[in-house]
Amino acid sequence: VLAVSHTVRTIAYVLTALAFSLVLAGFASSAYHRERSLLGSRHFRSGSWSAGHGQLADAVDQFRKALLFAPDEEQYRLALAESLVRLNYLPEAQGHLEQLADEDPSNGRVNYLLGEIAEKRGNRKLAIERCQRAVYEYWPPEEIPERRQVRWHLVRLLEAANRPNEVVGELIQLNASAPDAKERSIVGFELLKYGALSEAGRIFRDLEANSPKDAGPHRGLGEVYFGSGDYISARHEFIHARRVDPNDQESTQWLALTNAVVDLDPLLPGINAAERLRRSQNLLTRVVHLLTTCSPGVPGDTNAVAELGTANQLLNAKKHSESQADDMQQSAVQLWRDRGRFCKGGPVTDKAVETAIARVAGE
Amino acid sequence: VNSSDWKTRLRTIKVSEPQRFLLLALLIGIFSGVLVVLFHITIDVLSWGTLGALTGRFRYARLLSPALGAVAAVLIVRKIFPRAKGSGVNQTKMAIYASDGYVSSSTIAGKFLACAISIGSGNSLGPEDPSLQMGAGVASRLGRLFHLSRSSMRLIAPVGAAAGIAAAFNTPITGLLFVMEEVLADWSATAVGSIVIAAVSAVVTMRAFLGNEPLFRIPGFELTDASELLVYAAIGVLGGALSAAFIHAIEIAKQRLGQLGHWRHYGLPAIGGFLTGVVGLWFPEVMGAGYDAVNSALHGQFAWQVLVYLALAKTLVTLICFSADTPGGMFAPALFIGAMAGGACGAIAHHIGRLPAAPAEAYMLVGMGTFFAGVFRAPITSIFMVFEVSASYVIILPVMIANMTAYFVSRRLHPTAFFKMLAQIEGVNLPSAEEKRTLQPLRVENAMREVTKPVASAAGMRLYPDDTLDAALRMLSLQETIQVVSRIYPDRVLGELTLDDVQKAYGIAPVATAPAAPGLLGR
Repeated sequence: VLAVSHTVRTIAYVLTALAFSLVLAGFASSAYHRERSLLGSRHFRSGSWSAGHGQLADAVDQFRKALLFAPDEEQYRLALAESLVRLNYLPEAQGHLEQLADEDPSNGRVNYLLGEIAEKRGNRKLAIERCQRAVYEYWPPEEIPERRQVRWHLVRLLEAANRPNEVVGELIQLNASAPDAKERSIVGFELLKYGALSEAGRIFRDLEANSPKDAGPHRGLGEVYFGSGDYISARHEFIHARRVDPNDQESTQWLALTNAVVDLDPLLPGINAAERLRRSQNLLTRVVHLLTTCSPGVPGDTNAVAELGTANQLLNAKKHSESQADDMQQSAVQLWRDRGRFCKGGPVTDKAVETAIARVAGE
Repeated sequence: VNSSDWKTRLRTIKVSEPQRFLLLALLIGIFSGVLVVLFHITIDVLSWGTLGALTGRFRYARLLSPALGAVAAVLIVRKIFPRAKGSGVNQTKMAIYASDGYVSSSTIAGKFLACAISIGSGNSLGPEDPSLQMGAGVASRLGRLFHLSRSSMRLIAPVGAAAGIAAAFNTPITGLLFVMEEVLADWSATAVGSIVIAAVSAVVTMRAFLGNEPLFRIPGFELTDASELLVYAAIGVLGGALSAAFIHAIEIAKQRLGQLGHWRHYGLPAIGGFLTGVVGLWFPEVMGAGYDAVNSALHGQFAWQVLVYLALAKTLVTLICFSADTPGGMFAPALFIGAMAGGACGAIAHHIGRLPAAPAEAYMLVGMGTFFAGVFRAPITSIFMVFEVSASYVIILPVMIANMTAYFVSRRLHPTAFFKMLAQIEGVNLPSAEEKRTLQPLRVENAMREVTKPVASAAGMRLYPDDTLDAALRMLSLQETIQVVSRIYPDRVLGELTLDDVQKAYGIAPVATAPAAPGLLGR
């Protein structure tokens, strides 16, 4: 049993000692944390300067030191990981990024860098997954332009993985957040590549309305009309584009193609029966010409010879009736489909013929 | 209200011994936590000032600072605080078994100063073992202040030890388990309760000042394939063999170096420190406790070749520093060596290609655990330590397999545990926790024989087969022959026991003529 007076003295002594040691530890730890934080930020600043000047190895060294002093600074870890990715030190970068992802799975930049690592390692599926996460997760307001870059990267990855629907989806998102007409125009042309005509059309109409003196939207709209089979409107837009910018080579080429198609297309709206026959003749003549002037295919292919003979008969008939237009179109379609049998050196290409045939065949 | 009223009131408050013990455990935890915080800060600040190893400010200071630090630390221990020398774990055990839990206050100051200087100047040693002893010192000091009974004093030192090591590792379960497994080898309820309170309060105090950062920051990992466990078992075998070789190397080095002249007291630490500095010029990561390097390795900073070099370099410098009696502990270096060796194994497994491929950090964690289990022969502690530092439940399965494998392999290759080996070299015979676990008390069923002629027993004078022979001896002092009965059917007599039988079971009696009960002399 303790003597009470002694106990009181002891308790007072112990409590005083406890208070003193807590105060001492408090001062010591606060000074210690301050010094650590100071050393960490000094190395971080030095690393950021090196990274900004392209001295990545030095930046990595400085960021590592910064992290030793301030291991809970996510900014330092992210900067280190970014430099490591640029230097292709992938395992270490991945270690830091996974830790950051564990702490904050919604960090867009972290997910993007993990996607970049996956891409560098050839794991495209994982790279897409990470980039998708990156795009749809949080980015600080000042880093929104970088988020757009990530989305563009995602578009490229999806293109490479042959996932067109998702590409279109991402392009629509890119259009919604595009900062200027130039980028919207790029998105519009990308959409055209994937056959998203209505979305592309909307973009180019907007652009045309806002900047009529720009050739790009006219050409884009022309391509939209061309893709939807409205060659007359397409020609109108290409002409307009050339008028705005006579040096626009692409508009010139598109205009030539559109004119060729218009000349060949027997289904052009508003033409009479005679005109339809003439265009059908033109189409078949062009196809026969292409197939007879290319390198010969399988020698002695009787079916091919018979098909060509039939086409020639149709073309060489002394009198053409309007009802023969359909036969000519059918013959042209059939010959075009079988062009591999006529031509040895690969399939013959002719954009205008191809477009007209596709239209006749209803493809 | 005057002071005499207060005293009267206080006199009426009755605090039982167990309650006082628990309250003391809380105080011990807080004091130990504060002490470990200051110890940690001192080591870090010293290392920034003297080494600049990681800040790169004074590259060539690395060469001399460990040597100077080692000499200064030894000087402090030998000239000012002679009680602070030796292994913290063994000194704590000595205090428990030989001096009723007494650890002098000068031990705390000596350990603090000497180890902070030695580790802070770059010697390859760790702060956990000194923290353990400082915790025990704090506990002993408080116990003396409150005039605890002799039996309570014996119990209070491990409570402080648990607080110290828990705060040093920032892992309360590890602190608790290590003391239970290695220091006490006892799981009594009083001890567990107090140790838990002390360990938790120490860790909470430590975190309040140094933050909630875990010892290691480990990226997430998952077990990808069950066949990976084979690789982990192989790491266990390797870790066990390496740890046995490590203990053996320390044993030989300590014995050989101990035979040198008096110059060794200062000369060896200086040489050890200098060699550490030389190695540190190329591999600064091996200097000091090395936790920063383990963290970097866990984040994939090093290629497998570098991991191998670091494991070898750390083994070498730790061997030198520890065998030279430079103040400091062995836990941190063991974790470092295990992590690097495990990481190298994992990276090699990746290179082989056909083997399952967990991330390298998983192998590092497992390697860390295997080396710890193999060197310190505390397998349960090693499992929970890895679990606590990684905060990953998935790691438990591989760690259990690898650590237990390492434990058995190491025990097979080098039967003497690390701390027992050190105690033997220091000429002290301490009870080994491992032996305590292995040795079970003899029981009545190991000594009883068939009934020759029924004897009448006094009421209550009967034994059960699972009673210990110690308990039987107390009864045999009252009656010559005692019946052994079944617990389930108390009327059924299974055999009888005499003093001769007990002596025979202990191997100290002449061969008895009576036949033993068939199948009962199992031991």
